[in-house]
Amino acid sequence: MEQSAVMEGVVKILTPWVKNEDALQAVGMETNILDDLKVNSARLVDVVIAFEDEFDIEIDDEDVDTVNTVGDAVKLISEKLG
Amino acid sequence: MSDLPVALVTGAGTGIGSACARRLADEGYRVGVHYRSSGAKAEQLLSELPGAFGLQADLTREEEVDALIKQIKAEAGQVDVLVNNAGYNVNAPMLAMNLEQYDAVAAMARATWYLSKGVLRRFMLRKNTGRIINISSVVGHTGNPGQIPYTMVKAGLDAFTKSLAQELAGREILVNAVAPGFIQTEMTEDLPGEVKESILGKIPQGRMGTADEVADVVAFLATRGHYVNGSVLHVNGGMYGG
Repeated sequence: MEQSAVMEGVVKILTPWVKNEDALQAVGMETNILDDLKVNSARLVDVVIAFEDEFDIEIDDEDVDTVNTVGDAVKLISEKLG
Repeated sequence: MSDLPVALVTGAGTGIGSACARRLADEGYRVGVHYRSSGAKAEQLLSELPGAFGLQADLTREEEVDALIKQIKAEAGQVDVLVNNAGYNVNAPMLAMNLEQYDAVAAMARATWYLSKGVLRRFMLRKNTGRIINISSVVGHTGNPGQIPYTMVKAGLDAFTKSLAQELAGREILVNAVAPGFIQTEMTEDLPGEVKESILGKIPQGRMGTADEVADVVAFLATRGHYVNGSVLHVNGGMYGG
């Protein structure tokens, strides 16, 4: 899967959880999921589960700890997809 | 895979855990019978419960919990009810207990946290429904000489229950605890005679409870109790009201 398609999927999944619409309009690989998009940290697990379901992958808790930015998520998912 | 709802009962080889497994099977659950060292008793139970499956693991070891989660995923694909019953105790006054014994008892708090996290992450959050039922103890409220680490773990389990119920706000995943009083099990069989006499004197109903009487309350929380959340239900013949 192309990285752009992964990025599109990641942003689509994040969108319902985003509290900062302005940051969403300018979203990029460096956008921080919690600090910039203001996604509630208690709901991050729902985002991760949606990533798993959408891309048919399994993400370990250790992997989740490495995801801070949208780019981190795209990179991780791309790696899992091989 | 079966369409039946799935209940995972830890420490199901003996006592209260075994009674909970039987009762939940009666209620229509396919039961995951977890055990650590009670293999023969667990095998006997498995032979009596249609569709039940066995899960051997030392819950204090992360890698064994991870493997258990994977086994459930392959075997049943879901967990609708988790009964955190497994426990460990060393009876000794504080001044006669060493740190190794303390750690062995205290490890169950960490183990319960880690297993619950895995079950939530891999099963319950996906469906946004579920029941977590923690088997704590009256001694977590009253204290009990000779059981300081055990009473700490059980009191902590009730606090865990309340905190997790709040963390899961907005989801239909209910977390409650059942706090048995003195129940006729292998654990209470070990108590000295004079201690048992002293205990009975404090129980208005004048007898120890049975594991089935605890399982009744667990079954209520698993199948009904739709507006009971973050609560500790006492099952102790009146010796402590909470």
